[in-house]
Amino acid sequence: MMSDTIFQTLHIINKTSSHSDLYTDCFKTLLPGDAILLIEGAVYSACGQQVCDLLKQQVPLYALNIDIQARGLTQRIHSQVISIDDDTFVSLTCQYKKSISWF
Amino acid sequence: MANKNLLLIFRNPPFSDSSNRDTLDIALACSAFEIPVSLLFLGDGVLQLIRGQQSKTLQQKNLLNTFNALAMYDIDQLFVLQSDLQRFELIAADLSIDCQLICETQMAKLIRQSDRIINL
Amino acid sequence: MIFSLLIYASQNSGQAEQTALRFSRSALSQGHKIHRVFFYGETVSAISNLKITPRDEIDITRQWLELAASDNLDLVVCIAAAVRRGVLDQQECDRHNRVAANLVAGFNLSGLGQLADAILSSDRLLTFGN
Repeated sequence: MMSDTIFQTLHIINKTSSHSDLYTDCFKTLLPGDAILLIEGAVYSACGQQVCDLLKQQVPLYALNIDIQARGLTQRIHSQVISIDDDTFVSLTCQYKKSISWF
Repeated sequence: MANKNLLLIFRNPPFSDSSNRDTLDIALACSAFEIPVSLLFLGDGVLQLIRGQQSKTLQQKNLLNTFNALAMYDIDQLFVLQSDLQRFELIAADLSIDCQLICETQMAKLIRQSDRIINL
Repeated sequence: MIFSLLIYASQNSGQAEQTALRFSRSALSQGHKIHRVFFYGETVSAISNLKITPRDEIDITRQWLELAASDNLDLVVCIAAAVRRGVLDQQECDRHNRVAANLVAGFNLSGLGQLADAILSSDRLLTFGN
């Protein structure tokens, strides 16, 4: 993952999944080579049944660890969601050609 | 580096917050810097384009005047999702400016082909 | 890698600015450059000398200034967004004949052309908003 390979679009979501339009609009734009990064309130979407819609998208799923810890979710994050620190957040934005923020 | 293009996404209905005006202002400024600009009206964003809005009744400025003037700024790449029109039971003739109607696959391609995306 | 950041958030709702600040610190510590941080929309309301931050809370505007001082950041506030929210530098204060300028020193008022320039001059544009 940490190679120099340039991937396509990094989709950064920061709202909880109760903002369902935000998630469905984002999902419509996904293509192979993209990834989703959950930050801030969006890390809740990596827990419980809500994660199913994300897993269906078949793109890599990342979540910002500091936001996971802040919300007491460390033990609740789905195993297919990769927890990352701020440095890896920066690295991801380098590896992907561009980012799009959904808020 | 010079020929980067920019995609601006409108996702909010009229009179919601300042994001629509703010996004439009970015479009005009970037176009003045010769950055090729495309606009995508997504979800509720398409509601901004409905003909016959009478924003004066709310004592608010009508963004439609600016949307109608976009061609003068060489901004003529405007996109609307066909499925969003259907959701609101709109047809192309209900919109006050000419937009390209695209499907979701075409939208995904549009995003992939854009070098920078601002989605306020 | 050269980054520019667009901040479009309210300091009183959400944590977008904190995330942007941490991202900036991390990017700079990895040797990346930040060409510009552009403050737009509601964000600009809080870049005021008249703001009082409660003692037990972090003043994020100060934190930007500290980072700017150590890493020579270009902190640009959208002039149109600022003026309509009552955030004025001395020049705008004089122009509009108001009682006081209140823009925090270290931030500069300028137009959206600075965002266009940031787009053209940077390898990556990150938006932090809420």
